[in-house]
Amino acid sequence: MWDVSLVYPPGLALRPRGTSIAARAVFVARPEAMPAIDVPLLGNLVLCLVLLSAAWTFALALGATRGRPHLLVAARFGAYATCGFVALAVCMLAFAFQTHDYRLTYVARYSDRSMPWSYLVTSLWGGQDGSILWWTLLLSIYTALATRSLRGRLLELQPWILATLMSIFAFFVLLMLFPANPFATYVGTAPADGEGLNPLLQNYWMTIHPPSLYLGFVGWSVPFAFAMAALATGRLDDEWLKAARPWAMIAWCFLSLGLLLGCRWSYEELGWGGYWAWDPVENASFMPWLVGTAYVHSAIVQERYAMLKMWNISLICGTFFMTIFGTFLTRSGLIASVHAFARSDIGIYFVWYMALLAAVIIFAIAYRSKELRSRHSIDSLMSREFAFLFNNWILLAMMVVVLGFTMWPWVSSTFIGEEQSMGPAFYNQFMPFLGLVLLFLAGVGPLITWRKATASKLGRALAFPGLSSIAVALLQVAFGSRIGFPAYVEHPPLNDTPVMIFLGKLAGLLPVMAIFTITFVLLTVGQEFARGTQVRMRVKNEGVFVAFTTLVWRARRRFGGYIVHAGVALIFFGFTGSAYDQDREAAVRPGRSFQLGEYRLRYEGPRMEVDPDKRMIFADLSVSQNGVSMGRVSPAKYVYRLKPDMPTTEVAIEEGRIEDLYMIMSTVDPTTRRATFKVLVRPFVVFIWLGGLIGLLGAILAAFPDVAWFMGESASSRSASKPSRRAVVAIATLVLAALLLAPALVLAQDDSSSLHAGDVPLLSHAERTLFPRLLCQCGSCPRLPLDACICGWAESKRAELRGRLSAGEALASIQASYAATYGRGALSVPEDRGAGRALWAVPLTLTLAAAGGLVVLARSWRASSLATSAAEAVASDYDKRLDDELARLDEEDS
Amino acid sequence: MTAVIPWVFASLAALMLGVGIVGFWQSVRAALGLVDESSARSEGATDAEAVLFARKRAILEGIRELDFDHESGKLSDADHERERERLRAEAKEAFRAIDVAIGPHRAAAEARVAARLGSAPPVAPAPKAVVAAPAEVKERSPFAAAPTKHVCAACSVENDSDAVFCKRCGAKVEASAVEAAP
Repeated sequence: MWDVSLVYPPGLALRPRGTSIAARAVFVARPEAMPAIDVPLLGNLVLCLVLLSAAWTFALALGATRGRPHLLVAARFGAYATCGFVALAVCMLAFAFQTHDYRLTYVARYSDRSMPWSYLVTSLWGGQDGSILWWTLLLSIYTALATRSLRGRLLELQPWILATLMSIFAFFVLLMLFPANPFATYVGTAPADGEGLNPLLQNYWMTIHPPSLYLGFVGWSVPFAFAMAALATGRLDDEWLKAARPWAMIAWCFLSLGLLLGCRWSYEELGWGGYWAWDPVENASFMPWLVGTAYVHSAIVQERYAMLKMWNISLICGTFFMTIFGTFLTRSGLIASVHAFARSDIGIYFVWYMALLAAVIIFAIAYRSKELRSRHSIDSLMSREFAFLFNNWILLAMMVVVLGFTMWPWVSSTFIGEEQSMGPAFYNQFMPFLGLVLLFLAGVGPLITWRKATASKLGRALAFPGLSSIAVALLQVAFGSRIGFPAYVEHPPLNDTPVMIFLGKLAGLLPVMAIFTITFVLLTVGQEFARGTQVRMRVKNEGVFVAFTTLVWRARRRFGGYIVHAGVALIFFGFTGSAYDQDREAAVRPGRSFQLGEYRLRYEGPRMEVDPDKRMIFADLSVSQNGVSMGRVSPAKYVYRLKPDMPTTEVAIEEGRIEDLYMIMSTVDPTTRRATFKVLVRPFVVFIWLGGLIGLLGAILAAFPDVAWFMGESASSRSASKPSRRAVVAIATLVLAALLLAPALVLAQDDSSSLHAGDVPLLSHAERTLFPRLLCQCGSCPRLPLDACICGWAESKRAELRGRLSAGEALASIQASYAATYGRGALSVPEDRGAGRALWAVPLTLTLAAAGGLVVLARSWRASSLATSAAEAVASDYDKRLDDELARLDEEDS
Repeated sequence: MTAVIPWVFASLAALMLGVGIVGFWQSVRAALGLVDESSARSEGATDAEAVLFARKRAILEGIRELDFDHESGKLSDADHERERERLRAEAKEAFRAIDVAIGPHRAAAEARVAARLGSAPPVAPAPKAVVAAPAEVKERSPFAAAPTKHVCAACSVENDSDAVFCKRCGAKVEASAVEAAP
């Protein structure tokens, strides 16, 4: 149809990598007649076009910084053009998928002829190269929206914003043109059929978790662009901060949603009974969330008191940097991960980009350090400002700890010459404490007023929640074990050093500490709502309902934030439930039953169903709780036709009000029909999803004013439009965005497999503690922990260790002898000496030192603020106008 | 159905190609100065002024929150009073900054209004005067001070300069109008 060879003759030096003449010859020879559109060639051309357009726009934007309006107009059009070309590339790849154009390696690797058209759309982002293209598409959507919303606004910042965004485009297009080209072709003959999409990706949660996460990741590009623009122009006041806030809130919401959906996906699909495994991939998305959350809080302080300018700008840049770093971590294969991606050669590109990014950020901040120095004044350590600073401190401490732990395998292999693994047990020893400190602050913060809290009043406000939560904690200590939720749960120490034994004991107290903190937060939040409502009822003489809704609506950001805090407290409650997990392995014949806690499970027998894609082997179980039948469930294994070596585990989950019954079928013997099951009772898991939902609603409420602003309402029209209409618009935007991208993006999970699929029966508590800490040493498997590896070596090792355990040998000594035999790298928990001790000691010391430093810093600020506040001159002429404006503010929202 | 899907993407691709080409073409034209520049002109308040308004609003909301904290019993009367004074001082400072910033615009706007209404071009009040006494600005504004009213011959009521009939007695003003003495 199009004779592209005229435009782009083969053999030209510009010919994109991998576009081979042979491949094209095959295409010509293909029998079925799709029009002869040379997608590989055109696709590469379009990528070049995107690069050209981005470079053009970048140049125009830089030109426009000198105050040439016509160049700014040109740059704006250029930005739209760039977005259009990116969308064009995506459509072309989609077209190639739909027409089974297997000349493209990417199409051949992630689809096959039997797939329905909808999965052909999803496989568009099923692999690495495509997901980078998809990332770029999301970036273009954000860019187009930002460009639109900036019309006639922020004219000095705008050129720099566009320039920054275009530079990000350029990086991703370069990635696609060189190491990760979605339009690359086979050098030889194109295959007749593709390899199909990874079965794990062919499910519902996987279609909505990564898009949300990606929207969260990519979304931070826009606030970052605003921050860079502020740095470049030196306009470092509230202007950029206010403009960046809606974008930051949107990115934050999507990132949080993505994390939550990730937990849900892991819980339902990976089939190992957990929702968070401190896997590098999970950490990669958790770290930007921590920094972003710090920013969302500290930005409020700058809006209020024009301080922390440098801090906020660093946080935004840090968040963006962490998104790139996280992508690098998951893509480069630097850290082996249970569900990490194929190692690829794009890592080095990311390293260079990160180096460039870091250099630019550090240089820009250093260059503007004088302007960024703001007059800090903190009147008292007992003030909201200081509480926010403390919140930032703990969030960043968490980030540093997660970063250190995640990088440890790499650090140890590079600098110590011995790769040491880092299992979730290690994280679980430290992170919950930091989390509880954060949660506690979330409870105290709202009670403290700005500037300086009145000590006596603060004490009174703390009295009810504080005493009540102490009472609840005491109740748990007294009666907890009677109802199955004891205050202290044995937590085996990681190593046998005194410090670790102490920490192990301390971790045993986590349940009661968590219950105390959670109750405290819920009560303070509840108290805030109740007291606010009472004030309105008293002062404005309103009914309960009216008072409550007006209260919340008028201070959406504040109360939305409180709701988020309550949601987070509930999520913590869900986490706490993991201390009370019960599980049981059972190998049973059809017709036999086994018991776990209150549940009795009767194995009825195996059943097989077949559909064109896969064989499904079910094991039917009749479940009853305390003798009351709960019906029949069927955990299963699916074996896909194209990936027979990757059976997926389909768990059955009975969600109760308080606890989930989680059933995994590990194996079934086709001849004897004997099946092995792993069954878990997981209390409180439902609170994670509930808390997440509540938190998300709170976040949307808190984001309202900002999102309305972003919708293009200026300050003047704002007072005219009704709040309800704004609400509708804001909700509609968020929901629409979520829906539009809901069926989108399956993150590339080339090598993912149900490694935690419960194929290994663990028979006792000691085994469950020990085996995850020891890594398989057979040499052929990717050094999985013994509780997951199914190779023969691991099986015999398990048998040997079981013998030693039953002989009464202590965990610590088995662990030590294992390490002595196979080297320290054979443990998934670093030893508690030398560098292994520094691993946790250094971040914790740093954290404590930072807390001390923060207090000292705040004290010095306090001194300076007391000195300057006396000098403030007061102009008295404005009293009446001030009162009028205050009155108008009151009318505006009510 | 399945036969249509590829064509959907093909048409989408064509559409996006169009968007890209038109955008690029417009960009080139704009770079040559051939396109209307309105999207690069500010609408309403400039960025710097918007910052001032935002700061003022933040302070006002701060006062409101402070009052609320006091009412809900989080602050003692003394602490509340002290903080309130400080915030009010900050708010006044913000008002002053706004008046300084928009002073020239206000003068220009009033001059335009006056010019439109056919009176002599007024003297723009110096921003300094505005700073000193913003409340007086209105009384001193050329619009109020300038003699632009037509007096009705029948009932001696002052009418607007463009009035055709007297607003009180209804008599025709225009013909018999007497310019009030300056």
